[in-house]
Parts: sequence; structure tokens; C-alpha cells
Amino acid sequence: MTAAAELRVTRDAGRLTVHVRGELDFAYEDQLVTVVTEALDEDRSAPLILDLTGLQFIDSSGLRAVLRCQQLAQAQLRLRVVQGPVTRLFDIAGVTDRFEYV
Amino acid sequence: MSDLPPPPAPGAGEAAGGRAEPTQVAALRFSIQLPAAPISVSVARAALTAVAQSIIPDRVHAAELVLSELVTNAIRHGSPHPDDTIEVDIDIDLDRLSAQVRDRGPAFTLRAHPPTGDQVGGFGLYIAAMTSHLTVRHDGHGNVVTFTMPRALTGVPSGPGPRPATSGHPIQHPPRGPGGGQRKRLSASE
Repeated sequence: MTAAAELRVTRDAGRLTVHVRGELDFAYEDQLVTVVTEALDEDRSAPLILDLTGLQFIDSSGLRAVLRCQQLAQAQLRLRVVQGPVTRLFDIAGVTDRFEYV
Repeated sequence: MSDLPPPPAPGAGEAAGGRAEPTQVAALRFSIQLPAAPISVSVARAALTAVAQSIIPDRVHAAELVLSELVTNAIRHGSPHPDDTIEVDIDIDLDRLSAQVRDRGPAFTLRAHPPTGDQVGGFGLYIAAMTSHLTVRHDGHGNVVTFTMPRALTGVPSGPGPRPATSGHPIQHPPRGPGGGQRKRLSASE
């Protein structure tokens, strides 16, 4: 049994959302960046939502993936989070204020 | 109903009168050897969780996070050859959980600064050190990175938010936003 991240892109009212579920670590870092890069290629005009509410686990490689996505998307990126592994990690790393949220 | 056998007498390892308490696992040790590939990070977590979930449920999330960071670091920086392996020894005793992660990389020291500015990397060992007591030594073959955390949460309720300081290791939360305050980073000096 190995944990996996599941990445899915949806479009709602013209707004793209990348949903990440499961466990985001080293094995899925590049994959998330690739998916976000493709979503940005598709639409550079609207906010891109990165929905992290379905994550059960994230570590510094997952954080690194999210920060890389932010570098690519810049102000276009918004995160959706709930209290849990993501907010705990962001607090420990001191990066909570580096992101915009929806 | 009445012909059930009487409950067994408490065994030698059980606390007196602790009828309703599950037998506490006193000590447990296991080792795993993993290929130096990204998928090994979740395999290490799954192995730890499978063993620790029933013994130290309050500590599993924190332990998984630290182990994830150390195994990732060993793969990223401590595995110069494709067939290198990462060795993980996990040791749970009455008071604490500890784990050693051994790699084949060049020696590094732990430094006390968090990543700054717009850096995207360098958080791994910092996060590990904020969550556990962390040491590193080089044994001539590679680095031996050890983390230790108390087995029990010491009177602090678990819940959202950063892990409390429970190991005697000073925990400092880096200030929000750019600029000020004291910062602390522990990371591999490549």
C-alpha cells in the first residue's frame, strides 16, 4: 500500500480549480507543478484555485510544490484550505502569509 | 452467559488493577531498507503508521511528518548512486519514539535559519527540527539523522496548530512576513 496524491482540474463559471487529494510529498511534487502549468497555459486571465482541502498529508516537498506553483502563477494563484495538515505545516514553516486564500 | 471462563489473571507485564487498559507495548524496534526513490517516502510513512497507530496514536501524525522529511532529505541529498538505499530504524520504547535515517551522502551540519524570502526549498529539516529533537552525525559511510519525540503528549491537547514543544527542544515559530525577528534554520549545507 502506498499513498498517492490525486490531482483533478475542474472549470466552474470560467474559473479553473486544481483539486489535490490524498498525500502530497516528494513523489507528487513535479506532477502538481505540471498540472498547474497546464492549467495556466489554458487560462491566464482568471484566478487559479488550488484546492488543498482534500489533503490528508503534506510535507515540505508538498509545500515546495505549492510554492513553485505560486512562482508560476504569481498573483493569479489562490489556495483553498481547511484546518488540518496543510495549515499545521504552513504554521510550522511560517509561510501562511505568503499565500492568498479563497 | 455464565459458562464463560473467568478473565485471565493479569500478566506480569500488566499494571496492577489495569483490567480495562490494553497491554502497553513496552518496546518495539524495526528496520526497513528502501530504494532511494521518491515513492519510498510514503512507504516509510506507511510502515511507521502501521506499527505506531495502535501504540502511540497521538504521535503518529508528527512522527510521519518528521520521517517523511528525513527520508526525503536522504533521497534528495544523500543518495549519490542510483542503487543507493536508505535505511530506517524505528525504535519505540516506554518513553519515546525515535528513528534513525541513514544515507550515503556527504556530511552536513544542521544550521539554524529558516528559509527566507521567496525560497521554495530548504524547509524539510527545519520542519523536522520544529517537530522533534533532531541530531545528525556522519559515520564514514553516510549521514545518520536521528529524531526523537516523547511517546506521550505532555498534557497538551492535540488539535490544529503547530505541535507543542514537548521534547526539550526549543521551538520557535518564525515570524510572519518578510523581515524581522529571530529566525532559525536547520538544513543540509550542500
